[in-house]
Amino acid sequence: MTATHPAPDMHEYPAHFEPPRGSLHRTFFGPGLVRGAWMALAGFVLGALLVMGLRAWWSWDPIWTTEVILVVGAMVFAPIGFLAGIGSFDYWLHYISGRPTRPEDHSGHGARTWMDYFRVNTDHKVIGIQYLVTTFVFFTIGGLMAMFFRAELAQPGLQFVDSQTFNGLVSVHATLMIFLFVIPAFAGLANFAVPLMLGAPDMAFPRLNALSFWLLPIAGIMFVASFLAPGGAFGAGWTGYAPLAEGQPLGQTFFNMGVQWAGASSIMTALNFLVTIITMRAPGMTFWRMPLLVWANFTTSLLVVLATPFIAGSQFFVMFDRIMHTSFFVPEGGGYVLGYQHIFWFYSHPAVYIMMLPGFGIVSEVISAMSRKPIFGYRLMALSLLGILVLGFSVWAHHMFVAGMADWLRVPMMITTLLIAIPTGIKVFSWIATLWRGRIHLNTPMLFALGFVTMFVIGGLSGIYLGSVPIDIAASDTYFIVAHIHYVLFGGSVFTIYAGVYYWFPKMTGRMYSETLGKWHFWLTFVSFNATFFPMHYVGLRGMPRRVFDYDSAFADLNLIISFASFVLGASFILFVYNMIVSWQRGPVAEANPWRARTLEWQVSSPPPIFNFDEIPQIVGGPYEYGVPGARHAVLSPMKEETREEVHA
Amino acid sequence: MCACEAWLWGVTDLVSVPEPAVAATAKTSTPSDASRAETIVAFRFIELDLLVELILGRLLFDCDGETVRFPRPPTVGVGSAPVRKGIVQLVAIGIVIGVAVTLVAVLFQWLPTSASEEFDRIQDIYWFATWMSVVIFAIVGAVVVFSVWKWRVPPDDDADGPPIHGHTGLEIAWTAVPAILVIALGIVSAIVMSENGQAKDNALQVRAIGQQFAWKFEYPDHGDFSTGELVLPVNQQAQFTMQAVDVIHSFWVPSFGQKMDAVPGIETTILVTPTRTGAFAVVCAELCGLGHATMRAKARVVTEDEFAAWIEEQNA
Repeated sequence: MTATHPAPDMHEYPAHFEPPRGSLHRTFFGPGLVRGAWMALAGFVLGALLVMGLRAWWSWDPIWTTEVILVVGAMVFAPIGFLAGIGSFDYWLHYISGRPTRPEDHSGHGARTWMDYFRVNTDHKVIGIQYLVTTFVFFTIGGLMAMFFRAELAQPGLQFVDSQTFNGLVSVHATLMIFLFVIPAFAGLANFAVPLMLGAPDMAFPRLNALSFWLLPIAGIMFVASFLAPGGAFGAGWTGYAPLAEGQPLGQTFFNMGVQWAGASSIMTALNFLVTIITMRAPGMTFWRMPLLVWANFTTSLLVVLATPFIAGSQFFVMFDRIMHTSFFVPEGGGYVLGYQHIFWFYSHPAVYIMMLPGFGIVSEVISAMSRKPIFGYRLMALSLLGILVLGFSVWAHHMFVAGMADWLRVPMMITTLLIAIPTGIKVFSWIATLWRGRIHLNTPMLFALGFVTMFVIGGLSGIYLGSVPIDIAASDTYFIVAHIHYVLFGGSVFTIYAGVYYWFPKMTGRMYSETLGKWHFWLTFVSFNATFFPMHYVGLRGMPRRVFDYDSAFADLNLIISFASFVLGASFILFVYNMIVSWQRGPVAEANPWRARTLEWQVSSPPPIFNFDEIPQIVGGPYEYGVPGARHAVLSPMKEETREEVHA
Repeated sequence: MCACEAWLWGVTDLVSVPEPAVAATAKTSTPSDASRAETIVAFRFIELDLLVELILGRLLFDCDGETVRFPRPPTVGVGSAPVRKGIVQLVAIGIVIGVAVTLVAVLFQWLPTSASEEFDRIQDIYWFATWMSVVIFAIVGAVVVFSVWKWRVPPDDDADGPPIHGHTGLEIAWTAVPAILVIALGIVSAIVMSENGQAKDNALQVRAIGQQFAWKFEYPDHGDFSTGELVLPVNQQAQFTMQAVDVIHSFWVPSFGQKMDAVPGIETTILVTPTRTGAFAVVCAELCGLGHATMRAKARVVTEDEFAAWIEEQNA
């Protein structure tokens, strides 16, 4: 007996569930931002009613508590309402409820107009660009905040803001840059490039991919909106140490909850990358033939899925202490204050590598392609990523050398910290060895890659100072730390993000950016970056603590210089934005492979076709075989090539 | 070259190329790779290839001592004139960068003048780390600058560089040398840490209490009083016991080079042996709220007699 499936009935399974575009019904009830808005509002009302209802039922007084209603209504129910409204859950809800699911007609794939970027889109290339544009918006906001508090710091004493606002600006600046810029910008670049590099048509879970993007603006809006909360934005630093965070005004809740949404977003993306990289490599793409960007994102994703739950936990504990009167970190109630720092840094130290390893991948791609040479010591490069991954989990307490933790923890943590210099050193030396005897094309991506290598060495070396416990005792919690993290995260991560954006810009947009403007952008950024952050080493060692609005007048001159340089650094960003926007609209049409790179994404058109490859490519060699006669990375259309050979035979 | 080296550099794909290997082409390497790829597809479901590649790293498959040949880059004799000139130029650039960085390191006084025995020892490690950093930065800087200066090509150049995949000796060197350096730094640091942590029996006991936003000091062995000004006798070890009333604070005297958090619920300690008299700043180094920036106090290091007189005055 053979079971026969009923033929698909086109009336039962229409291509579009939504009414035709433009109708009022469609605007309000079809997936999109309008439905997102009213469903977010409905979600808030539902959450608020739930809280008030429960409180009334238990006859608690008062029924209205702003903080609890804010957490449940505005920070849990409203975002879920928004996500449901824009259509993130439509397919799954149809499936769960037994309604006919929409057959995949690919209408949620690819971008035909600019409006397609404002809806739930399942195309990894569209999501990559959504990520990048969103993160650069938050980069701008975070940068403006930095310039604002640099203006305040130009002179000792308070000039423009009160001290809660100052602490808020510092905290929100760091939070935005970490959770809304560096981590997701790398996720955006990888979203665009990794499936293409693997020879895959998309990520493994496209709908999950779309969902993880849309969680991001929710987190960003929460962080920025905390300025509107009574009492001002969260001001306990991005580290949000308990018990200071527990006594903060309402704004702290925005941090506790915003981190949950940003963290959920990165965990989902990381899972997606892991499954994609493990299962969707094209035939012949063994692990040892993967481009280093893929390796970098593989290790980063492992870090993310293992570490990120810890920050979620730490923030939940703080929030429970705040609104449920638990005492995780309240010593009077038996809590352990240092427990917060251990849990927090167990995420936040690996987070440093989450913010750096994808950059290593980008730089490996750029330096190899622009030097026209195979990457030096390919396997050691990949293995050193794994080495950093393993060591990265064993060093968290080096952030706590002066925190009063158990003394015996200091030496082991110092040793593991210093050992990380070895795999990192291998990478730096391999990059410069790749340059050696190359044919170097000094264009904008390459400039940023080389800027990264040199600046990251400075950040790494100041990290060695801080790894040594006695020096750290003198230098921790000072501006030396501020200098160190900006050399690592600006000279490191941000330079690689710039390198990546310039490198893949022709692939993403199909147009070429202005090389002249790009070079101006690099040199302005490079010089003003150093003028801003290098003097901070000095003021820190001399005795200026971090996170202060007022300081000893001995540091006044240098702080004025730093502030001035930071404005130039801000101004240099305008060049970048102008270059990107104008080139995207009117730049010269780019070739498919302007860099003559060997990896797969450059073997398809610019921008790539909606499903990337007509045929699954066959990988036949390593990704960086520049200069090897006859070497190939991939056969793009193995079937066609076979047919051709048959014809020839 | 041994197959292990080829493995390390990720060029095993060329291992299968039959002799003469110099004319390696895609055509000759495709069949074996294609059959390999088929195997991978077959096992994809249980991801055997992942396990094998990740855990065994193909060591068992490739490193059987078989000799591998693949096109070697054209080499230039090390003793030849252009190479000698290049080496001289590279070293010259390295020296220029090294001298410039050294000047930055020594012309500015990066550290406050030490006022404690502990800070003296910390400054020794600081200089150890600084010389290490100067050398490493000079090497990296020199190679980058020299390479870009020497091998930069115009944008329309479409040739490729020599296919150098790696160099085992170099890779061992730049794994081993930094390892030795950082382990040396680690040992020196551990020694200093232990020296700076040796409390003497006659150490002066001082209790430092942090609260938003002021420091309070008590001398439990010298009477029952508390003061907002820290007074210490010179050349006498002081053991601080830190407490916090509300949130975490951090006790820091930049000139002593010592710092320790005051944490609610636990007691932390730190040792300071002042070596010269004078007035110094006590700073709170851990963000503790609105008044964090202004949470400062004065530390005064005085002679033993002056200290005794001060104690008497406080107890009066």
